[in-house]
Amino acid sequence: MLGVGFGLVTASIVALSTVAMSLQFSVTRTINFAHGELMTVGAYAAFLVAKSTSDLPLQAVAAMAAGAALGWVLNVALFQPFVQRNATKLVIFVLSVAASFIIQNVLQIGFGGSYVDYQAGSTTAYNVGPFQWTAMDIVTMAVAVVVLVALHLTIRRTKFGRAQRAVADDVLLARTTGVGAKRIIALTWLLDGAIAGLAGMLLAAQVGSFTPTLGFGYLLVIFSAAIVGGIGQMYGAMLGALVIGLVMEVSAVYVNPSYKESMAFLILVAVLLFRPQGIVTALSESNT
Amino acid sequence: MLQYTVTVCTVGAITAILVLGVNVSWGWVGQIDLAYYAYVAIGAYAAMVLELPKAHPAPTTPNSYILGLHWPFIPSVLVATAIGGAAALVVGTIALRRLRGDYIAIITACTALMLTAVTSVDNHLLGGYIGIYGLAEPLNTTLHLGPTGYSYFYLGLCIFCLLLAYLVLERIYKSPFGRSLRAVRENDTAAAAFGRNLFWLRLRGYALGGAVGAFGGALFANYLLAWNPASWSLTEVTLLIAGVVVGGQANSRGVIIGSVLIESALPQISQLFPLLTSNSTIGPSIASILGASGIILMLRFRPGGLLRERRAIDRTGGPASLVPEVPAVSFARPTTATGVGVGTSREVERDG
Repeated sequence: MLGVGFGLVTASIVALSTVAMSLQFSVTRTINFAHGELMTVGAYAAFLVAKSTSDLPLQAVAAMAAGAALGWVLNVALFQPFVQRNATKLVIFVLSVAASFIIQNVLQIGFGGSYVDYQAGSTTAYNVGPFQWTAMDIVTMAVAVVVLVALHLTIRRTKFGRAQRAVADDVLLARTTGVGAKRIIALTWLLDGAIAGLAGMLLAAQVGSFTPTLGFGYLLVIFSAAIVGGIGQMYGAMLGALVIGLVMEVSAVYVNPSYKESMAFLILVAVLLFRPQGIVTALSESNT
Repeated sequence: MLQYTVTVCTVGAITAILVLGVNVSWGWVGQIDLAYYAYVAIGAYAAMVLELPKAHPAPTTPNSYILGLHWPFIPSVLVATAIGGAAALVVGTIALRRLRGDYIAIITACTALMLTAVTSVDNHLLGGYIGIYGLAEPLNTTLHLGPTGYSYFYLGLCIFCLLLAYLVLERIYKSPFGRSLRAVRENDTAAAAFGRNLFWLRLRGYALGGAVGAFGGALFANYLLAWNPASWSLTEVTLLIAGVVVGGQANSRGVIIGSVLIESALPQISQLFPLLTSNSTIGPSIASILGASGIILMLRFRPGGLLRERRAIDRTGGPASLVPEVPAVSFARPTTATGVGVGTSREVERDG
């Protein structure tokens, strides 16, 4: 049961990052291999702010701002020029990998390659039912739930969310009906970066110390969750994150914890073999 | 200085073999393969456990390895190559059957990371984190060369292998199989309509790439005389991809030039920077940043690479493309692009 408790915490972090990526993918149709770096800069921003204040909300704001700024820069400086030239997926892929390398190495020059310590929140443990969580674990899960609900409301209830869905369905049609697709895409990148940055801070708080490869090491776990849920499906992404998070932490109880991520990948391979459209595609198709 | 040049050239020749393999899966087949370095590692490990004698783990270091057949150099390399091809066949069967584009990238990356996890954690399979070491210089039991003479000999051997790989691959590139592969890459719907089995063609191309990678890996392990999980990661495969992008996708000579530029020039640049600052870690970081920026600029301003792929030209003067453009579903390859390496529009322009 302890494993399930840790799994829920991991799943919360994975869910935040995966939903951000899924949202960005469904609106812009570009796979961003530099997504992990959005998390990493969030973690470093929180780390910097934590030097002067232990105020958690302030650190979270810094993390979100840093992630959003990077997301915006990636879109404007990197993806848009190539998307406008109709670059192939192969090109976009190489591009985002190159971007990921540049960001990692800039961070390496700035902060060095060794681990930096980041302590956030209280580590007092509480027993909640069969689970055992620290205060920070509970904060992490609460933040994830609040952000995901807020995101759901944004996408379903606001004008911006409706425009996002329109762009995701058909960019040309959205444009002809007066939706500023370019602005919507830019705002989506901002939102993606902000949520991913927050996820990065929560992840850093969970692991306690990190290096410039924090997000990159987590990238494939995020992809696994996104694909298991059905890529581009926001609600599927949440479910995928739950599955992946639980599998990773519960398996760590039984086998060598170094195989944690391999377990996530095994689930991914199984899903791709038997249900390549993801586990919730059919469900959401009937919704729309 | 001469010895240093020999070292750079040997590593350069091996890198060139590796990049030829990457070029098969990326350039010819057009798949995003991130498991490539796993095949290099499989080739390296396979060659080592075949050549080394049986493991005698000391009580202080419990790490050991499987097999230990004490085979000679040449059959070991050949078998290692075959094992790499077979491994690619297995991974390709999973990855290429129903998936396309980005999914292949993700699943191949996951495969590579799983293999890294297994080899690192298990101390008795392939030596765990410490890896395998202690290989004797191949063929030197019969040659009895000194260290300098041997380094020349191995350089010659690597260049010979590079030429061999180059000629064999050029032959395959021009063969009906190579042509079919390119047809699948350019327009798979049309290729399928002309009766090509897409999966089988892609799979064979992918396995060929894996075999070339394993061949290069076997040579690399025999040069380093040691191998461990840290020797291969996504970083290495990215550098090879950079070589392909810079050199010119699907052009064997181009990718060799590209990889030599990336792999030899970058370390030289990185050695300059410690002179400027006291921080020793800055050099490699700046080299990586420059390399990655180079890729982005290359993609932006010269998308075909330094040497572009020579296109098949319709010499009869007829319309270049009678096949209507079919919008690809997920791995969309826009035909109206200004040319990003793999578009059919350039052929039309050239003939037009």
